[in-house]
Amino acid sequence: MCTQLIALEVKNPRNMKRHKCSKPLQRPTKIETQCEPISGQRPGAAANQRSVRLHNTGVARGTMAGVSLAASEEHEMTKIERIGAHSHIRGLGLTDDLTPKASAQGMVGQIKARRAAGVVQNMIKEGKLAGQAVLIAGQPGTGKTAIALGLAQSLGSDTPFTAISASEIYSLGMSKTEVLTQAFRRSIGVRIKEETEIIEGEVVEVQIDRPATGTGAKVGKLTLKTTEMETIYDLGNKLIESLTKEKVQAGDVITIDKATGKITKLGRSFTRARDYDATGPQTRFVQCPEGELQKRKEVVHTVTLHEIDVINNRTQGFLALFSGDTGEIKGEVRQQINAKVAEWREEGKAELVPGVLFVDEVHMLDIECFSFLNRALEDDMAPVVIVATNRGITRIRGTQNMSPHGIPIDMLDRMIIIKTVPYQEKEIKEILKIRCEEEDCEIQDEALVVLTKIGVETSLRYAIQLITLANLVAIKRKEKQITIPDVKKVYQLFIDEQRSQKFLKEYEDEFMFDEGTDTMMETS
Amino acid sequence: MAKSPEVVQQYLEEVEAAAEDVLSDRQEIITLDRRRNTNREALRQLAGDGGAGKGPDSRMWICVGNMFLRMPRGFVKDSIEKEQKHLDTEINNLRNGLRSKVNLLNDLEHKQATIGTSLKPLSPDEWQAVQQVMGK
Repeated sequence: MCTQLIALEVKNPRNMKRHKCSKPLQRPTKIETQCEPISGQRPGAAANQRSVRLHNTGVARGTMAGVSLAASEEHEMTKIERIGAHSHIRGLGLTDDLTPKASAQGMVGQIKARRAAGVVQNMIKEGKLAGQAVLIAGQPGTGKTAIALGLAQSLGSDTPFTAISASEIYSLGMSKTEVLTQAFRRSIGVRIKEETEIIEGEVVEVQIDRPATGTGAKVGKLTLKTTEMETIYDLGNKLIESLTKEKVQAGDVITIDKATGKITKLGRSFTRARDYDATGPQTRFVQCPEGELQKRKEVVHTVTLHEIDVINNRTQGFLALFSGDTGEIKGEVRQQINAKVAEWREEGKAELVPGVLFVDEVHMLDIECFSFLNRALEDDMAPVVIVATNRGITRIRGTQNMSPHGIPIDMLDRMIIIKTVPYQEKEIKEILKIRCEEEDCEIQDEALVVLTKIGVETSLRYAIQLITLANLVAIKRKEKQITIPDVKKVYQLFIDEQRSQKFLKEYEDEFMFDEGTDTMMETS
Repeated sequence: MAKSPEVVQQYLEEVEAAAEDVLSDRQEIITLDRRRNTNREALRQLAGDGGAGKGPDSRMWICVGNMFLRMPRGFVKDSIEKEQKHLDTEINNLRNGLRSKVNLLNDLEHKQATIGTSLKPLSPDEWQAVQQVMGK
């Protein structure tokens, strides 16, 4: 048979010669501890933080846990992360032996509370605190949310962290317990391992022979190399097709999945960067792979139970995600998933990663929710629950009974309580300084002193809000720095809570529907 | 508390030994994989054009180390295949052993152990299902 030879690329003279002998064992200067086969791409990073995912349930049906697909559609709770006010928090600001630094990772003061949070963090890491609750209590504006957020940051990306506000549970579409259950399951990760055999190398040459007739089986050869070796693969029809589809050419770094034959282009080799004068901006240059050609790749992933629930509960593919239809995940689906995960755990295929569920403003939960929580905490798949409140002794929602923090005594009994205390003047100044940096505002030292005074006399939140406002005034004056007049101006323009209250009391008769001072809403 | 030089030296020796262990295994895998690839090329050659129309008893040249030998084709093929199998298991054993060795090294260097490596991998079917969950 006459075949026409089409060499896509002429073999590059710069290519390595065939290896004559193996190189002597060289000790690189840097000790490589993360060896390729075990290389830990930190797993959860991507898996945890996706909000909208598109997929098709086709395959999941049969294989995934043999889970039957329930008819109801799912409804995802909106997750409110109050990033704005706490975007400067990077961690708890502790040293390795849990000693809090005066100011680190955006955290200032609250030494005792942070130290306590550090202990909690260690317990979570060791998996010892599962099924218990932590209460962070303190006056408004004393850094409760900041500590919870710092704790989440310091746990790393693998540990699931869910933050909800207690008011979120009062949704019309879902029962209160469903919202809580979803939040619980969102906070539990399942760690699983993917293991694939791949061939990874830089393409030296692709050579495809096409039959002159135009039809019939193609044959070809693919030469791949790493820094250590080079070899030729004979190609079958299928592989040739995917090579052409991926437009693989000499100089590309590719991986071939041994099991599926899927080809992935990683980028172009640096050594071939000068092959063309013009390259598209999307061209990614990578190093020629090191080591062996045929590698074993192990990647550990963390998915949350809720993610698995949602997919298995879905009938209409991803459309349910957009329809916003109200619906709950059926109990049977959850049970089946629990059973499958338990099976995987027994077989050593999966590990549970108890994460953290943070419930802010926990006094907004009612008695039903508390009794549900009481029970849910006892489950062996329960996450660590951290709740925060700024209330003192107050009425438990849904009852006439008073209780500390608005939490029933039996629930309080299960909790470890961390107390936050009001910030000192020095700390307030430090926080304001950090916030100025976070909000890209330059501030004069004297203005910062004035702002600190305001913070001490009114509230920290009010002072923080003034930063951006004062900055706007400064910009209007075409100044780069915030000065005392700017702060004074916004202080007069925007009144704080105390002045507002005073004003209302002074002119209460002139407002509509006013019933006097008795029913003044409590603001803290 | 300052550590005495002896303690430090002993510690460093331990770390270096563990690191050396990992590195030599890595190098061993590379050497074996290179061998595996040349063997594979040879097998392809035997099955392809080079071997067309010749029986298993026809003799052929092979190069072993620095020596050229003339051997029966069938025998050559069998022995290469046998070696391939041996190489596969050898590489797998080394890779499985690497896990604990790397973790030991991490432990000595006071780094966090790579998490999840002790897990058994999911089967391809199960993995495909999980990929659906993760939206790929």
